[in-house]
Amino acid sequence: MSKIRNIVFDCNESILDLTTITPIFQRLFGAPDAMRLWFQELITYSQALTIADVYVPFTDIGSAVLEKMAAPRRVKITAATARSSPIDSPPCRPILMFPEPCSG
Amino acid sequence: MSDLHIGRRPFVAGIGATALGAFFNPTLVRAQALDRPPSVLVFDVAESLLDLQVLRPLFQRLFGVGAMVDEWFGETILYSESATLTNTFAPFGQLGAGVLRMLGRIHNVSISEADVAELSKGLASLPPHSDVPDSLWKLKVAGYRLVTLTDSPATPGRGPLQSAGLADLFEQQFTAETVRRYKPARETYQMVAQATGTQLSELCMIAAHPWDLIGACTAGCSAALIARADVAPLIVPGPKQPQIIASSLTEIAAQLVELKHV
Repeated sequence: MSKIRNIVFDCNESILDLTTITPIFQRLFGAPDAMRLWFQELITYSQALTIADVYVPFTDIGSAVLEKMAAPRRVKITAATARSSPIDSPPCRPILMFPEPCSG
Repeated sequence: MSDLHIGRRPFVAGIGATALGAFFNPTLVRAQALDRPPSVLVFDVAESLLDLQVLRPLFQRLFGVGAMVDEWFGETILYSESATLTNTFAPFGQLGAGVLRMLGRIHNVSISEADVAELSKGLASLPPHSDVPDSLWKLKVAGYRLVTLTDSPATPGRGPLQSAGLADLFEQQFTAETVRRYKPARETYQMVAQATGTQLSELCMIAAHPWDLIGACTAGCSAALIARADVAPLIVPGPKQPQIIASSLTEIAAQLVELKHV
């Protein structure tokens, strides 16, 4: 291996603990597992958009995936909530707002 | 809600339509309506035509949670995209088996070769969704050319469509493995256009997966989203939305048949 000069860290789930936002998904969907599904879909759609050569800001994909999950489950996420500032709308920008450092 | 139109009709998909209307921005959702019938209808297979939920008992037995089938399929798609993005190729069946073993390690469940074989066998004999056989027949009778395009490997003469008695309706079955890049890579849709002697704009991709249709629309195809239960479009600025969004293939087929009569 060549000499490592810099170390590049991933943040979400790697440094920051995503499970701290589980209660939001419990509240919205009544199922803590929904957080895992949301993050999986977020990555799936960010990759799909990259493959299709369409750039969409990551947080916008996060909000859209949350809305996509909510619609068929009849969970209401209002337009005001979805489009207001991150500070006012924790459910839609959870990854930027809530994670705490992993303890491990 | 009254001004929310998707495709040629007001958006009336039964499941979730009311909830969708609560936050949809119509200017983002409205797509260019189809003004002429597509030359070739390109169908995704797993989940779109065939019901993956019959695999629940296997996941229930292995993980104690039948719904784990959704996580397994989602992760398999995620890693197939990663393979495409990094220009590496692994056969789709191996990706699916690898993801099953990965989930086993995460959940401390031992996955045997027999379990992998059972998954593979299950995938080869998935039944069609109830709205599929009639819809395909109607589209065929209306004169449409039907083909399939899947990430799964080609299984000529012994695949699930054969078992379901639907294989003969399709003039060709394409797999992304041929171009060694998975959907939604442009090359997959291009392969279908080339092989069917059509332009990308003459293809209509039909699937229950918005991520597939993002690629098809960006490549220049038209698209129809089968928004069955648990499926909704992804509304983000940028990619075009499918021209048709409906809660069943029955309704999509009706709209496409009507186009033939215009």
